Amino acid sequence: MNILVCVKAVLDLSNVSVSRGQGKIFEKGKRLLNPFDEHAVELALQLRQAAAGTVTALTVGEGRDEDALRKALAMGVDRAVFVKGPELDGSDHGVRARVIAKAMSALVAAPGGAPFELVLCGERSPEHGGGQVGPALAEALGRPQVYRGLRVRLDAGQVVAAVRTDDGESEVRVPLPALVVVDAAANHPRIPKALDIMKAVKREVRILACVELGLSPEDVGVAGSRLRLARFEIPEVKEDAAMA
Amino acid sequence: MDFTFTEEQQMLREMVRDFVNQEVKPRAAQIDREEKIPNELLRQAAELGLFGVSFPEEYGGAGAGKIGYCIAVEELAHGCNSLTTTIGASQSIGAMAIYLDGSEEQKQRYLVPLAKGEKLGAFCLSESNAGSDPAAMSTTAVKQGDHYVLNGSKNFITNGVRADVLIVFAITDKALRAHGGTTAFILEREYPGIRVGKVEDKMGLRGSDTASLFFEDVRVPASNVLGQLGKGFVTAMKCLDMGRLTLGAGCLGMAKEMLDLSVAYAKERVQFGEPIATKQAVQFMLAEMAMRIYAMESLVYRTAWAHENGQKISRESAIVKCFCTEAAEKVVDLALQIHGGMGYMKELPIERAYRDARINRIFEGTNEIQRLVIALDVIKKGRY
Amino acid sequence: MEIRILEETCTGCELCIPSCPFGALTMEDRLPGAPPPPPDSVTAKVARVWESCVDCDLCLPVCPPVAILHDRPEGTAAVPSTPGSGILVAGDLGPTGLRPSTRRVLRRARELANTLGCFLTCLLTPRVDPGTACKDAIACGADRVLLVDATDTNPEDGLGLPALLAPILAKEQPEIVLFPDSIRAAALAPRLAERLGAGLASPCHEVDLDLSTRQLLQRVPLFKGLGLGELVCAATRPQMAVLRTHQLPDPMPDGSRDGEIVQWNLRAEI
Repeated sequence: MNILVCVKAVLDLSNVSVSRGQGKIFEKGKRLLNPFDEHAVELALQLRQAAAGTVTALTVGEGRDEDALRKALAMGVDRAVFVKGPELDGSDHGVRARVIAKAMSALVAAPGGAPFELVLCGERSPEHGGGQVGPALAEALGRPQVYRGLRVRLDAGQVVAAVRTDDGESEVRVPLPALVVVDAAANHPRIPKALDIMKAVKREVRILACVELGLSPEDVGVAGSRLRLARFEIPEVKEDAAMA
Repeated sequence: MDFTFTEEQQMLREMVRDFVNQEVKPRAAQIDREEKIPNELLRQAAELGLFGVSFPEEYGGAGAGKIGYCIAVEELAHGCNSLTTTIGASQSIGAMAIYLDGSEEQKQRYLVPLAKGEKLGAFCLSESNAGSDPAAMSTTAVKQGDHYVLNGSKNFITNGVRADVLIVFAITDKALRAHGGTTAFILEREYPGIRVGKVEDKMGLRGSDTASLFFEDVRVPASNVLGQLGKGFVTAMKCLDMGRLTLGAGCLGMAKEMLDLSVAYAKERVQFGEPIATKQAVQFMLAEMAMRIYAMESLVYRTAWAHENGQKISRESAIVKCFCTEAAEKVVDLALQIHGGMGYMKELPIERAYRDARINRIFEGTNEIQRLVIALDVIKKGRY
Repeated sequence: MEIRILEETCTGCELCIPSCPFGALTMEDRLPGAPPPPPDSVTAKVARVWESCVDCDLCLPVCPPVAILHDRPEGTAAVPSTPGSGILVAGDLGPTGLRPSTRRVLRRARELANTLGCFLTCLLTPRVDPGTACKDAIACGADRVLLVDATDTNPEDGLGLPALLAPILAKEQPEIVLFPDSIRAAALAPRLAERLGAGLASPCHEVDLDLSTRQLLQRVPLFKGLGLGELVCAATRPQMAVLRTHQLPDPMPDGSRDGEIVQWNLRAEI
């Protein structure tokens, strides 16, 4: 069983300085693995144990986003893939989904590559909150999806899961290959061990460039995105008003 | 000169912080109240590698070095000083003695399980009549064939009740005493003749056990002599350098926690129609706290860096210990003042920190002894 | 079948093939006597439209040289003021009718439709008789309720609804599609957007209009609310957005409102 976990790097908001005037957030330390994606990594590691397979973590972004993969490696994934390039900056969720789909084809086509029967995504990110990459990726792959999986297991070529619904929970069963969007209540992500952290920093991260995936600069980043950030501002916070 | 933490150091900090926030903070009040750290919590800390952060991988550690270890202690102290002390006593001074001066065989037999947290260590130096003056110790070890026979007692031993591996200092040559007549021994808890005496009822650090230990004709194999015969004092001093440095790191973590709590409270607490953070009196207290924290942080990591790079830190660790314990005490006191009446209540962690902090000026060498060490060093050198 | 290929313009690039949900497009060799491939052709082949085409128009926007045409019979050309072209709310049905989140989105959509001077459609995909939900949607502001029978789609695998709805939306050509912030919509909207090649902002705490461009301004909190972003769909249509509903006001239903209830039947449309 070959499992892919899509992860995202997020800002460590406890370690930033904010300039309202410039409308910018300056990072002072490393980036974090999106806490919602940790649930997807945890599920992948649990399923790997049950189904004897490998887990690949993949992220799309620029240089510092590698920090998210280091955390995934420290948690125990088998390998990490980084689709990397400054041209990816400003990509909307649709671009990210299409880039991941291309990267999956490239990894499968590479020597020793095997298809990813299962793709896992987190339910959203604390930065933008949409959680659109998972379903958009499932669409790009033409795969069935299990949305907001709570208790997920594999059974005879099928994903069997209790999922969160608007009315509570329900039980679903979809055939592999599939994509699962993992609910934040699905599990309790493991905290990596000190030794595994030390080792994770030294492990190889496979870097893929957009050109290797057959993507041109117009396909990605702001150019390839259907959504454009027209304005960004940092509003005045109430407590600052009280302190002013 | 570079003061940025490496990626693994930042990840280590994040990891310990997650552990503290998820597992330690919710239990800290209970640990203080029930005077016991749950075994499950110690097992989790062991699993994460927190008992062997600084030791190399081949000895069961994480290989994160002394800076990594200080980071781990700092983060642990955000949550619970009793847990920090339990782990610190086992690692900084107990296991450290074996790492620094133990034979390869001793390291495999004792350091590996200590670093993995499978066993807990204790450092047994103090006696009822030998506190600041360890040379006055009266525990003796007499050679009988291929064994030493230990007799005497030790006092105020951290982990004295729980520890599986004891580093015990004893006089092997009454004529030389501290000057070549003291030897370190590795004792296993199961050795016949070891008895736990009084378990202390302390003001603070109530989750960390402190006890006296009695040794009555305890037969220790000669292979368990740690380091060279008669050089026990050298071993003890080297361990205490590390112990003082990491105590500084613990003070730093506790002080940061106090400031974080105080800032949050000052922004929330409204008096005279405004948050008290708008009051200059409170702002000045926050500034005093932040200044001390910055100084503590600078001291701890500069000294850890020096130690990591093989520099001798006897005087520097004394400065770290003395300054950080006093600065942290002041920070806790200010935090309590900002919190007002609520700070005095057990409902908040400030009251516990206030009690926990007081021992810092006393154990790991009193601050008066640290000042002597610092003063004698500058007098000897004739300059800074 | 009203879709036609301009053979002298088709570059044989094959981009249209995967865009068709019905497998109605293939690449074929050019027949003798057919126009030759244009000079910048990718391949010498030419696209062909088969009988399974339902004229959904999904292939139109993906063709770089604009070689795919929709020949509409006279008088049926899509103009912005036709009922389907305004704002569409993809609503959720709960066990007891329209979900409150959908009703709130309808209220906000009504305000937007009034501003734009356009039609408001509420799309519902019932698996059982929707009962009074249609009338409720009209009372909450919809001009028209479009019922699409979803009985035959698998509710578990997420594949069925986007495949069912994409051609309908492609035909309806709404300017704006709004979703409530339900779990169902969160699973559906990104797939549908991807299928339509449309932009989707999710979740927006507020949407507004730029009347000069008819652009939907989609306001989203970023970085845990530290920042506020305003997103727009640059060039693609429809403009799709998921709306946060917990702070939106409930509608004041007006039972006297007029509206039409339309049962969509894809096969009948062919």
